Amino acid sequence: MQTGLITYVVREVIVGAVYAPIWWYTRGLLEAFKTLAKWFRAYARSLAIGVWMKNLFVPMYGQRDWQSRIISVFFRTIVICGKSIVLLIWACTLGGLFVLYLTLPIAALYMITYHFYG
Amino acid sequence: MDDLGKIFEEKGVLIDGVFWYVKEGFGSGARRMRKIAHVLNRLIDAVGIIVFLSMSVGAYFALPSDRSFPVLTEPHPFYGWIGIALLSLCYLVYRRRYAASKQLRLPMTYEHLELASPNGGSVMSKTRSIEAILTADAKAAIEEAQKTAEEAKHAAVNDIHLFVGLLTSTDVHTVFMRLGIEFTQIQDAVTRRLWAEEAGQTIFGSYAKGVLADAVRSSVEAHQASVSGIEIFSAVYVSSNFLQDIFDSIGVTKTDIECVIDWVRVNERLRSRYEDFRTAAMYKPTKNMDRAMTAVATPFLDKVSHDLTRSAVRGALPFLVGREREMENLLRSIEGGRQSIVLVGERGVGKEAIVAGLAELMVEERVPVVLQDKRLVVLDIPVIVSSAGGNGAEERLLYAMREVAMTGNVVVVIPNIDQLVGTERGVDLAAVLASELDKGYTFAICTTTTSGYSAKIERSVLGSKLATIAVDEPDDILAIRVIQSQIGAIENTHKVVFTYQSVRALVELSRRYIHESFLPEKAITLAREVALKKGKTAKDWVRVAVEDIAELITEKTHIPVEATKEEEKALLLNLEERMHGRVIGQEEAVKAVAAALRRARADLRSDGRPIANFLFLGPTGVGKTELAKTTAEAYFGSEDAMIRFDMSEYQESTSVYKLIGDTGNGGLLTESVRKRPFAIVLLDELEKAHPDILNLFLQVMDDGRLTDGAGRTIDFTNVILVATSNAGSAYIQDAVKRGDSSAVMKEHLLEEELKGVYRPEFLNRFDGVMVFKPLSEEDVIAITYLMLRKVTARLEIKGIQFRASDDAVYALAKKGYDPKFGARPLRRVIQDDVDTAIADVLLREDVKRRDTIVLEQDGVHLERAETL
Repeated sequence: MQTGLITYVVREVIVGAVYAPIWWYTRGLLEAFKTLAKWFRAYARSLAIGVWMKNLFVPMYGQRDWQSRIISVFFRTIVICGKSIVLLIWACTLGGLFVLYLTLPIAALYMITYHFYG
Repeated sequence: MDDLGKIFEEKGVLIDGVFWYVKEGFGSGARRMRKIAHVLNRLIDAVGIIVFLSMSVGAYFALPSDRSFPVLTEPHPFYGWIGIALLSLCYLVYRRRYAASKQLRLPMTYEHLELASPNGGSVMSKTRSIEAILTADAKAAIEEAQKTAEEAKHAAVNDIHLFVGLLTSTDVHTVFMRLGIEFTQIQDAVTRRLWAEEAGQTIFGSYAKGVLADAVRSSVEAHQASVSGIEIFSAVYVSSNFLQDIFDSIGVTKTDIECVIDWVRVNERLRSRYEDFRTAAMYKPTKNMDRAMTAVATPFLDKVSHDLTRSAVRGALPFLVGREREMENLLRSIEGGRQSIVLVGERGVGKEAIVAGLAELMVEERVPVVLQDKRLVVLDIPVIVSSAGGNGAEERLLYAMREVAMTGNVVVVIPNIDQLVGTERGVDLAAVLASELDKGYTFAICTTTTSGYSAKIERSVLGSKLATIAVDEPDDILAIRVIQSQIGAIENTHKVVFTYQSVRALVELSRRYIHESFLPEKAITLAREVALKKGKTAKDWVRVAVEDIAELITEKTHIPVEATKEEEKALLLNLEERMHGRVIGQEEAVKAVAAALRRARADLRSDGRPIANFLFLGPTGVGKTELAKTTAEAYFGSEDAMIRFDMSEYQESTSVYKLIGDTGNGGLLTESVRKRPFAIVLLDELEKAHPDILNLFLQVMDDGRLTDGAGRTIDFTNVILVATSNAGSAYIQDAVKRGDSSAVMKEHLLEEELKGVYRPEFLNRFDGVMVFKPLSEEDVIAITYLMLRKVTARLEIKGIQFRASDDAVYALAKKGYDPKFGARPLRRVIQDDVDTAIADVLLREDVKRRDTIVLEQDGVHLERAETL
């Protein structure tokens, strides 16, 4: 019992502390990537750019005369561009978060060593 | 033996090559370790948070005095502190995520799941611990079980310990609550069982491990990620004869337990389905526009319809339970060729629920491509038809359909499509709709009743355009599941709790006694009514008992549904005595009728037939009708519960229609029974009816139902059918004179006398053929006394007393008895000789209250009361 307890504490605290950086850049990294990808997909789904692309030449609001068709294609292109830009901004934000995840422990370590001992 | 070999010996489950078994156990050591681990984890988290906070504070105080941020490129302790704070933050994130990743989940592979109990030596790539997939609630329950066994120093954790441990689980609380039972009811037996357990050093042995393995197996089969308390309870119950017996002893059968466990599981599944649905609903547009914006505004359609997909997104529609076959047919028909569909089923069986289920699938986009990104819109036919007396209905329907064509993202639902056919003023909307559907720009999902379909749709132009999908009334189990999924809302509204027994009673009693509507709707309506009634009786939460439901049904149908109470039991046992209070003689007939009534009230009669079918044979005036009346009073509570037909009025074959009606007109028999399903149907002088009518009753006696002229099925299972017949009267009189026994008489009657009158298969359908014997002199005297009692009762109301001397009674009996007409002339004799004489006295003399009128052989006298 006593040994079990000591083993447990050692495993949780010391091994845990050693394992943490390994986890951060292996399984943790994968998990973070998956989470960000999920957020990206959810937003992309709600923007429905794919649906707009597929219907690029389908007239909007059921207006099937040729003038409306031209206007429709033009307007759809603008909307698709607008939506793509919004999605790109979102992708950049998520990319930034990913970079932050990657650099955070290194940056923290650097700050400690440089600013205390540098 | 190596470690792997030891594992092979363990009880467990092999799921897709991974062996799940009890690894650490639940002993005091393991429990303590888990507790310490819990505390330690909290402690480490707390240290992490403290470090993070203190470093942040340290960084703040390390700022220069003017609180400006130092240059990053030059060493400054402020950034050092920030660095430590960030590092501790990373550590906290790691711990949280790492702990979450350690929480195992059962594989949710829906297909190709290899599930087996391992046989030693099978290939196992991995092992996993069952402890890691128990919910917190389940783990606490198992630990409690182990603790109970350890404290009592029992050799092993057995069924009884697991059961006691599981009493802490919320799932098991729900089971008890839904069964309407308390632990105290079984406490003594449980304690006795605990005492009887074998003593020793407690182990979590192969029985307990086997139970957990079974629970894992059923959780995987139910597609659950973890093992909850209910699964363990189910596994313990199935494996333990003792638990099955103990529940059985308090009236809870195995089926009851299984159904309640299923109820808990279904609710859990509905909850997770609801969460998935909410996520999916976020992506469904709630405006008229589709995602690609190809749709058009539909202002007119919006006025004459409502959007079902929008209601589904709002969460306003109930989840569809069951009906997988119908939904599959529906989707297949649509996918196959944009085929319009009509759901055909009785009112209330769940046609609208299927349409609502389709709306939900459309919200989740789990539908064929042709239905994706579409709206499901219900046309309000009454709105289209009603305004200005139906004028312009055709145009309005066309206009709405044109908008459907233009917008392209609408699928139309037309409820009760039979309303469209043959509308007045020569407008046939069905033809309009048929031609629009022919154009192929859309398809429609319609609903109608069985009679509506056969009467109006089948042979109309629409009939060929619509593929039918039959929606049958659900069986009891499905109906119970539907109610279980919807009862929560009713319970919360009225602050009542339905037990499993009461839900079952809702379904069973409404199926048996309410015939105008169909399941599950009639049971849900009944649930609402009983909840409203019961909810008013108490301020706090109150339990609905089976008796409450029975009482409500009795109120609605006048049928004594409630379980036989003590006083009623006594009445039933003394039924013959009570009946003899009105019917003199005829011991055998009374006995047979009383026995049939007792069988019916004790619920031992066969379903699907009338309560009883009797044939009363005998000469006129011997008490046949009187016995029928007495039966009505004894069983149905009132003499009025009798539907009487003089069959001499039905001598033509065409008179069948008088009884069952034809299109548009209700039949005398069918309508009376429909309105009063619980009554005696008395067919007087049956031998005079046309043989075709006898055939009609063959079906009633056999199946307990009759289809009327309008195609409705009328239920006869709650009637007592009594036919009286004078056929063979002459023989009976002769036989009685000869002194033949009843058995001989009955045999002769059936073999000889009735042969020419009724067909043998007709006579065979009767539960009892009772021979009424001619009345003896004593019988007539007794009847005279009985009739005079009525005279006494009439005078009592006026405060006047009445007495008759025995001589006078004998004289009346003699005068009133006629061997041909039985006691029938007696009524007239009493009317002439007694009633008239009393009336004379009342008019002639000044009769006061408390005076007595005395009937003597020579006439009626008045006896003055003593002056006060």
